[in-house]
Amino acid sequence: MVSSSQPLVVLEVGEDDAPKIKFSERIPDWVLLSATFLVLLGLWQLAINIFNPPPYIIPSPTALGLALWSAATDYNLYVNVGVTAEEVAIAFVVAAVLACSMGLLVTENRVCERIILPYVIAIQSVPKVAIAPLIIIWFGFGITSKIVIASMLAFFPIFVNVVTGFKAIDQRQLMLMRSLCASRWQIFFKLRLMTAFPYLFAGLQIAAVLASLGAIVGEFVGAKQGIGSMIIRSQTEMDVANVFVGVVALSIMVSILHASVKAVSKKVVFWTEFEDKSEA
Amino acid sequence: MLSQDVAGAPVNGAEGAGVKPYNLVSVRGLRKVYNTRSGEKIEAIREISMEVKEGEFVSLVGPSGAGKTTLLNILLGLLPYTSGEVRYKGELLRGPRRDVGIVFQEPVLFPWRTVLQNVLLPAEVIGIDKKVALERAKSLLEMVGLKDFLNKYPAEMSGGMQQRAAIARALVHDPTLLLMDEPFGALDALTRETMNLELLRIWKQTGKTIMLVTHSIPESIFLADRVIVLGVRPSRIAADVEIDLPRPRSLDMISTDRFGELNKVVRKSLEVSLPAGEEH
Repeated sequence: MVSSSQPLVVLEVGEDDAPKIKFSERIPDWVLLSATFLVLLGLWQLAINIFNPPPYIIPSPTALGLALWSAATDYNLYVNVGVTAEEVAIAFVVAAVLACSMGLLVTENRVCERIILPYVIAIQSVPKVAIAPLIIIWFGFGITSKIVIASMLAFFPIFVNVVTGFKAIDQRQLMLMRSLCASRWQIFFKLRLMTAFPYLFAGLQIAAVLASLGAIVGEFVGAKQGIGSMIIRSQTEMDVANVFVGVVALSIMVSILHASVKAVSKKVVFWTEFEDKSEA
Repeated sequence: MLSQDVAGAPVNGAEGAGVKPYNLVSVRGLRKVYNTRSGEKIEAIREISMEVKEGEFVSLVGPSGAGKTTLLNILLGLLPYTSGEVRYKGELLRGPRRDVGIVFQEPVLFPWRTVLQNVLLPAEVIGIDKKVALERAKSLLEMVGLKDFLNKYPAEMSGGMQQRAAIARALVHDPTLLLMDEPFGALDALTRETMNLELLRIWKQTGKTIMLVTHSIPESIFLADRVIVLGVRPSRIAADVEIDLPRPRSLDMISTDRFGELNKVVRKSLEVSLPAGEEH
């Protein structure tokens, strides 16, 4: 009878779902994406050639390419990127640590939940970006003020997800643990923490982007260094090509940060990948 | 002579009352009333008394709302009862016990653990020696036909295979009693038949006492020594049917006259237990 159940499983895999894929489906994503990119660049260059706008409004792709190249070979760009990256990284860690510990406190203790949660929700409704000037006044033009703004923005998605995650415990899994007389710690480490992890990482991915946003906004409002201040300076100098350089540098930085959080998440909460696949 | 007998009688009587052996599971006058949030009282179980001997296979059948799951949760020690007494191995049940195993309707495996790690979970929680537990887990997984899947994750296996893993997990800490809450309810009919035969083989091999809740009358008869029919809420025992089919059981017994008669008896008591107007 054991053997009779095995073929059932094999049948599920199926043999005839490999063929019948259209040619257009077989072109790799990266080919499609880079082709689209080149077409857009071409259209841009064409539009510049036809309408000939002044370069302080919009540079041509070639001018932008030259500006990117000269910026890439100038160590000044790396100083600015380094400053912003430092702000974002510190803010990200600060936000994660704060959000996780407060999330834990709120879910572990009913009194803490009743004290903290209403305040957090109230503060969340304040547009953090709007109080950036205040933060600059309080914490100065250095990196501290940017870290404060960035971590405020990054805090909420992590906090909300951690709280949701710690509450998302499966009742039957909990029953199983309790039926084994599991201690509070065993239930925490073997079940609740593991249940919360996918939520935490989803929050961290959003937080990575928001922390970068916060740092840039802080730099816009007032900073000596960083990508944000570089963009603002180029703007006042009508150096639009250099504004683009700042935007590109920022995009690359955010992408790398987001991708690394995603990569770590894939490693740590690998089982959520299974669930995605089984649903597809 | 006569006086001797009279003198001896109370001594024997007292001894009989004091050492009167309890069965493995002894439920007497059990009543369970739920207090809902609105202050309403819902009587889930009116009066249940039953005895389960060690090594016995008992099925519990009843319509939805017959308090089957309530009863199981009480036996697991996870749900306090209103009055009456529940004894396990002669001791009053006051909470969960580590010598009871549970299999739910769904496998309730932890998706972040491999099959082997899942089966080892109860051993970890209880603190069984790792080497002993590993050996036991491996032999149980072999017994349920999963020895080639030790390092697979639950999401990579079919529902039937997951449920086999859940059965292995329920046995890893060598419980005396195995509680099963509609363990095959989520499986297709063919897999279910296979699993029934497997379960009988496992029962024979391990000598466990099994209490199995099911919706299926044929399944309850096919597996058990005794079928206990629960009436609809507030539930009482509607019938306690001895299943005198020979063992080992085989699937062709389902078409025998005796099986048909038993089926009729159980069905009849189920119908009687339904309140008027709800018959189908």
